[in-house]
Amino acid sequence: MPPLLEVRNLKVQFKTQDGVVTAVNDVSFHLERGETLGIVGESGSGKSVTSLTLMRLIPTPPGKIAGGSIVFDGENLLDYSEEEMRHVRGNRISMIFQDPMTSLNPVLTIGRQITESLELHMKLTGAEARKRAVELLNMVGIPSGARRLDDYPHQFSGGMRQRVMIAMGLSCNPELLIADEPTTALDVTIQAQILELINRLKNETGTAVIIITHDLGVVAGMADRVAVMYAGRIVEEGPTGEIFSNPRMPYTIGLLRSIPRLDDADGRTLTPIRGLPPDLINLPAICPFSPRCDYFVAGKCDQTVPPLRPVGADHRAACLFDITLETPVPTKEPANALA
Amino acid sequence: MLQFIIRRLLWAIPVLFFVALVSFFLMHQAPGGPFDKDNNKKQVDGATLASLNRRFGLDKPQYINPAAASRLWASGERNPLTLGRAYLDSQFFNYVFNAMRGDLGPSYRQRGKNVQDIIFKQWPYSMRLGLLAMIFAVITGIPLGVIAALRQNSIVDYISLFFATIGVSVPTFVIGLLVIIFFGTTLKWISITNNDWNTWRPYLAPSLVLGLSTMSFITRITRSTVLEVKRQDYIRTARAKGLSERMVIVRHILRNAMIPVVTVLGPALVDLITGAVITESIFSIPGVGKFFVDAIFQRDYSMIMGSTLIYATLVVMANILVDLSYGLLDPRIRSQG
Repeated sequence: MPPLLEVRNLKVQFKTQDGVVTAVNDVSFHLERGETLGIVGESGSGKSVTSLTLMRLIPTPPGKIAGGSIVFDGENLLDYSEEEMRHVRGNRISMIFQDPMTSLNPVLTIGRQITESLELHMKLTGAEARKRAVELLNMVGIPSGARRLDDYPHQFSGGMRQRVMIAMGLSCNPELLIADEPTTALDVTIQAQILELINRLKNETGTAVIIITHDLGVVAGMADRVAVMYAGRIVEEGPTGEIFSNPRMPYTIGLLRSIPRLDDADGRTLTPIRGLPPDLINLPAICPFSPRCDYFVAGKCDQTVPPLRPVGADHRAACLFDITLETPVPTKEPANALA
Repeated sequence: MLQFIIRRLLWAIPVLFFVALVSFFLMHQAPGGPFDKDNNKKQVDGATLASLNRRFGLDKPQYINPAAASRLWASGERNPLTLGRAYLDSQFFNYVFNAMRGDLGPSYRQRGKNVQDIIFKQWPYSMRLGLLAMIFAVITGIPLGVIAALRQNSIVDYISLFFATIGVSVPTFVIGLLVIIFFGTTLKWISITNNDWNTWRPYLAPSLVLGLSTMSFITRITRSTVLEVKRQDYIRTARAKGLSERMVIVRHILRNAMIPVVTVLGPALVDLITGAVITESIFSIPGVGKFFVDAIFQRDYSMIMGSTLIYATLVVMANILVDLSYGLLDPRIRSQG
């Protein structure tokens, strides 16, 4: 059976006043039915643009899908007309956004906002849609849903609004749910509740999930597989356990070293990744992480863009060298560290 | 809702009082009075002036009258109401008390006419003109602004900017005269003289002229709010649901974008109804604007006060209406009562 989603060599560019930004550069990944993929990366690494591109929600212009394919259930979404794409959005693929405070329309009742897609895609009548909306609200843990249908978003707390967003996302039983930083704007206690909710609903409905986050902790608890993005590229991809126990790309290693852990021995120092992500305009054809890499090797890393290569079972990394967590950090500062 | 309206109406009382006080003060700061000597006309002699002043109560103090109160006190009067009334037996408070009874006083310059008679007689003309101008401004301004925003930086956007700039910057008297010359004299589409202002037809051209700057203003405001709403996260959410572009615009963008636009509509309407002096005189429409301006130059005190108070009342009413419609559009306002 072919995978539910197969993205191949996707390239997305934005035209800006300073030049062309390649936000997503040659990205390929796949997703099986019912699987959860975590896409991890820092701000500006292209993870959100990737997810919006899957729904073809990139504003064009200035954005442009410059190449590649997005094969969903055997068909390339990039060949779809806008009209055909609308039948996919909210129906077969749906999306939850980062900030529930701003992602709901302030002047429409949440009932209206949920029933909207039910009427559109499932062809339900007003009354049927309201009934289904109450079910959905109960499903996402909003008590007395029937009474709250006519409430407006401002009458809900942040966590409750994100539950409404999830109810909206799951309303038409999508095959794929994209959650773009679903917990970033929420309190930590609420974060855990929302993640648990997504996990539970994923198991109940069997929908595949792409969870996009900068938080490795979120990924650890949710994802079957992880893709790490850096500067618009996927730099490492593999099963979640492998990524955490045996990362093979210096960027992933750096990310893991920079997060605090409760089970750490006292006195372990957190090691931040030095420097800043590169400017995505006119990126030179070298390893994008090389200016910040502790393991930089002059004459190698600054010659080509390292391809993703297999480094284990279903595990690929974009590094020329076999670096692991155990590889000692070279003591000598790289020559261009001060540049 | 009813409570809200009542509270707002009660608030109108101090507002109107202070409007009256300020305009009374400013009016008396201007030199001269209603019965001044006009060197080009027959002179008013001193005795006549004094009797005129007595007749209209202009011989009384301007704000308070302690002298009258103490005279009454000396004559043995102890009723606080009577004493208080005597203390306030002044030009300002007598006007206020009369106005509260609906009597805006006689016009000082138009013999035998009351202020309310003049204003209410001219009122329908200004009202029709202002309403028509407003309708024109809204039904062209809002769609133009929406289209300009949705097609930002397109040729439509630039054309609407071009006309909006013209509408705001070219004065009414220039456009009014151009319209008369072009459509009246040359093309003879509209009649310039001997119009029957009790029919709607002659209002068309002047209301377009009058509404033009308001229309341009509405276009620009609509454009900028639609541009802002268009970028909101919830619009992206609406698109992610698979809604068609038309539904996204009608259901999600417009309603949010109209909230700031509606706030300016109320004051704009009052402006159009009362502020059409130039348009009214160019097209010789017998509205209130002309009387207001004449009253100021002639120091026709009661006329000035009456017009100002009616203007202020309209502004207050328009603002209440705006706030009510604001609540209809925005549930966040509604819940605060």
